[in-house]
Amino acid sequence: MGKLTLKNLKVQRKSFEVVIPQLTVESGTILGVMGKSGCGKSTLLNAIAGFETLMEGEVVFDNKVLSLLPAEKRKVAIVFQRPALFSHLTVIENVCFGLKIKNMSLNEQREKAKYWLSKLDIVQLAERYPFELSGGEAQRVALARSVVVEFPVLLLDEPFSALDAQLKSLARTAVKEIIKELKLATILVSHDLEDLEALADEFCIMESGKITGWGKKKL
Amino acid sequence: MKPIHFASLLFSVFSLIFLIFPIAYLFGVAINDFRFELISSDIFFRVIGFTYFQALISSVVSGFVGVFLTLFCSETNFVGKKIITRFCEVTFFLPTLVVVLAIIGVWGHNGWLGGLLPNHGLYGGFGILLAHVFFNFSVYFKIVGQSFSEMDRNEEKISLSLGASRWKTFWKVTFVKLRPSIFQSFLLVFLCCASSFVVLLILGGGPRFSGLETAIYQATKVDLNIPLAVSLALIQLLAGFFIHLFYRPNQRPVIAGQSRYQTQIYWCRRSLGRQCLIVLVVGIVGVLVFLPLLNLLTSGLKGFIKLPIEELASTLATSLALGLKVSFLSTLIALSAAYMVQHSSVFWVKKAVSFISMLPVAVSTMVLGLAITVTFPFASDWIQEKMWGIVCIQSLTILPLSFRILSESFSKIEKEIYFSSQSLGANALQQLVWIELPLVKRSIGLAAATGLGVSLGEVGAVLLFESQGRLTLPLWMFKLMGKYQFDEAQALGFILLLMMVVIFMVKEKWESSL
Repeated sequence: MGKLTLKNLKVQRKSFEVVIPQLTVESGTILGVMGKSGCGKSTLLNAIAGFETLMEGEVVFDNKVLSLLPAEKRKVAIVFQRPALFSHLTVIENVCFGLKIKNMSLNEQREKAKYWLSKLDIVQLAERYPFELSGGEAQRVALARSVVVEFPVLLLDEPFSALDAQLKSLARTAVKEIIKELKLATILVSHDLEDLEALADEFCIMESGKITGWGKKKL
Repeated sequence: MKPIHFASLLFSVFSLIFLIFPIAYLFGVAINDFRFELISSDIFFRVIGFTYFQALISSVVSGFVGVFLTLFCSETNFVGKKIITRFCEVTFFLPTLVVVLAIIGVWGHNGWLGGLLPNHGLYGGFGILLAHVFFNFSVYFKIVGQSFSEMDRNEEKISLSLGASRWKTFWKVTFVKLRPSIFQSFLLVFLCCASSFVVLLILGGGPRFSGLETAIYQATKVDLNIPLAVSLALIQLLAGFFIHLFYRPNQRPVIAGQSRYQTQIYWCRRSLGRQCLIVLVVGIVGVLVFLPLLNLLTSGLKGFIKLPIEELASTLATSLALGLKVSFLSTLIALSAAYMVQHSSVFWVKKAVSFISMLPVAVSTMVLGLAITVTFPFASDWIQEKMWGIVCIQSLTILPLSFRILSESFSKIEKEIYFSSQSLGANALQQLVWIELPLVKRSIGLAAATGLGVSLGEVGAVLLFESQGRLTLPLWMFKLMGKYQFDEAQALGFILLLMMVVIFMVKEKWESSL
């Protein structure tokens, strides 16, 4: 069982600062981060994924200092609010992208991709292009693309905000199942309390770049 | 080596060797050896005065024609509008020599409408103005048209509802918003007209209508008076740089056909006046564009039988080989520049690369050619015999266009796409090959087609660096015109026109799918 730890993290964006003295997420658990727009939630995720330069501190997973590595070597998967699918690739090619980088054989890639597509109930869309998908379908493809690589850390940046109520509920169930199955250390950023209630095991509240509240879900 | 390092190396080496160093060297030579006695000579002032005076008149007249046509065509539906719009968009891309030949076919002494002109005929101020308007009204048509199509038309509706007349609404609301795009179009057209070479050389009709570019050409190639050419080039360079300081092109490239939208404010009433304006629009485009092209098509067909097939085949092969080299080189350099702008983390590097890539707008072909000749006299064999001088100059001429197409395409890639691929483990090279290049491939095709098209019709650099026995289509046309073999020249013009139409159609298709 690994764990993701943030130690004395400090990120600066112009005059705005995100400061996290200590934060730990165990594998298989989901940490929900709440907060108003602009409080630094997405900056925190970008810093963990390697898209923001740290002023101080480090990001560690299983005693390995991720913050010393470039983004492509951290093995931290991320799903954004917008699906950001590669528009020139089909659904299955999008999902296989990370596996192709791992030099996996084509058959293995497709087999794995199909497994996750069927898990998310979109295997029938495998040969479609992103422009042929609805918002909910595209977001599920983005999720499949991020989990198929089986990286130990998953970051979710408001992944359900573009979905309607019914789809949200289905997507939440699927995401929870996947995270528990793969035992991923997950951070879910959202300003929707329902998302956090349905998914998160632990919560923290962010205000002006700092964590001001902390709690665990009652079982 | 990371892609950013490779792109930086390629762009820096090319732009330093063939653009920055030659221009800096030419500046140095010109300032050291400037012939001050020239300043007091009448010819000197006449040439400068005429160059910028004709550029000013041509830009203003082109502006009136282009802005009127774009405003009218944007708001009014009439039979044949699509064809008229196409004609208005295509003229800027036609080779200068083809257009000059087509204009001579209609307005020359023996042309269809030549008899309507007074004694001096086509050759002189009228011919120059006509040709410049032919090319440049489409710049206003497209740039102002795009700006018009992106305007919030509700402001005009509110102005009308508040009781302002249509004229007042146009002047106080519409024109104010179009002013920046009209000004930018004016600067671009002024630069094009001030560095016009072929039009002044052929339609100028003599020393009275000689411009700076023709004077530089004559001093370099005919009189072999390099110090004079360098002094003239210095003036052209300074003027170009000065205008370039104010030139801020729209960040988005102009997409053909975007100016067609539905809101009708000014020309919607069905009245006799509107019908008259439709006749006027059709008349302007018909006489200005359609008749010359029709003349070239009909006359060109007649001249075919007189063309020696073997020479035609070898000339076509030379032109295409040159065009493909230019297309490849200009696209590669523009791609490197656009990649640097997209990926460099240093702000001033992005600014510098953009500035250098747009710099050739301010430097004419003739000045660039002269700068390379003066800077590398020891490499004349490589420059002239192997045609690499032409390839480099034409590539630089096309660089601003290609750079804008590609940098716009790169900037459309969302940052989340980069983040997603990086978080999945893609390094910079994998990201380039698997994500970026497929996403910008149409723009690469568009830039390459633009390069091929411009190179096939370009004649300035070809004339400056022509070598015995190597003919390109425009150069052969030019030589045939010099021998008054107009039928054969028109046949070649016809072939060149067909090639341009094919390239334009491919370009249009790619542009619309971007």
